[in-house]
Amino acid sequence: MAKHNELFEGPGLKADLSPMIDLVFLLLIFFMVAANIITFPKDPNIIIPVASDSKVPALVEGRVVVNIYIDGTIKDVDGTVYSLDELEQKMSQAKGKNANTRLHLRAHKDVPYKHIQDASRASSLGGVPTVIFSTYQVSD
Amino acid sequence: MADSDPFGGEEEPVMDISPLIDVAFLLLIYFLVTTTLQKSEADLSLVLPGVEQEDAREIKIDQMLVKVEATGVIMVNEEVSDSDPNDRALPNLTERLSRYSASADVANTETQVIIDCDPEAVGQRFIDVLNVCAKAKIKNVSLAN
Repeated sequence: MAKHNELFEGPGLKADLSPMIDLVFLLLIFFMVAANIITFPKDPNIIIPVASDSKVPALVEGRVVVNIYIDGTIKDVDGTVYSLDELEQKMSQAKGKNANTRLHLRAHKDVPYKHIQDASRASSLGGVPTVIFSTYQVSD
Repeated sequence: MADSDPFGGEEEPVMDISPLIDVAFLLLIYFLVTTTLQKSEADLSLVLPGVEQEDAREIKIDQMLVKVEATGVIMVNEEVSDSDPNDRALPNLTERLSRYSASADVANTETQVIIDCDPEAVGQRFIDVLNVCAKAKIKNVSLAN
């Protein structure tokens, strides 16, 4: 018995965990940086256009996000369908609450332009002339 | 060495880092599971006319009309600029608007581009033109009725 215990005497075997911790922290920082903060729900059914000179916004405060589907249907992020008059009213109400309100249009890339124009005009008539178009940023 | 130890102990204090590793792994797994590699959306903005700026001053405005046909053909001041509907870069329009912007800077005039898009033209083509305006640093863009 005594002989058996002698085998485990001394400093013993210790695994050096430092490289593993380094690696874990590196991966952790990578995912924390790469994580895309969800600012508003994005309907995957809408394939937005691409543009090379668009800019990724730092803040989306004061935006009324509206989706325009390929058939011209206008919905907000909750899925509520809006007519042009209702959109105008919505923009007017939003403007009353926040003077810095802007219309954020997520229009399908193949939607006929007339639907984009109608929504932009409704926003302008509601007192919100600034329209922001969602695009995917691509290089030239 | 033992005499200099203020705590009177003979062993050096060892910090137990196991909970730290546990937390780090939990956070790592959380981010691994929740991260979706999704393209971030970027902005192209447009301020529609009709709002008078309070500090508006009298400025000379030199307008340029960019027409987008339903087929995707781009015309500038009634001349065909880019006829290939599949070319999103619009090289001729880019060059023309860049020159227009540069000359307006020299002449101290305000640039204004009016986009007259056919109602049946696709949204991507309209964005292409808007993108060229952004590239040429033309901020005063309006839409024709």
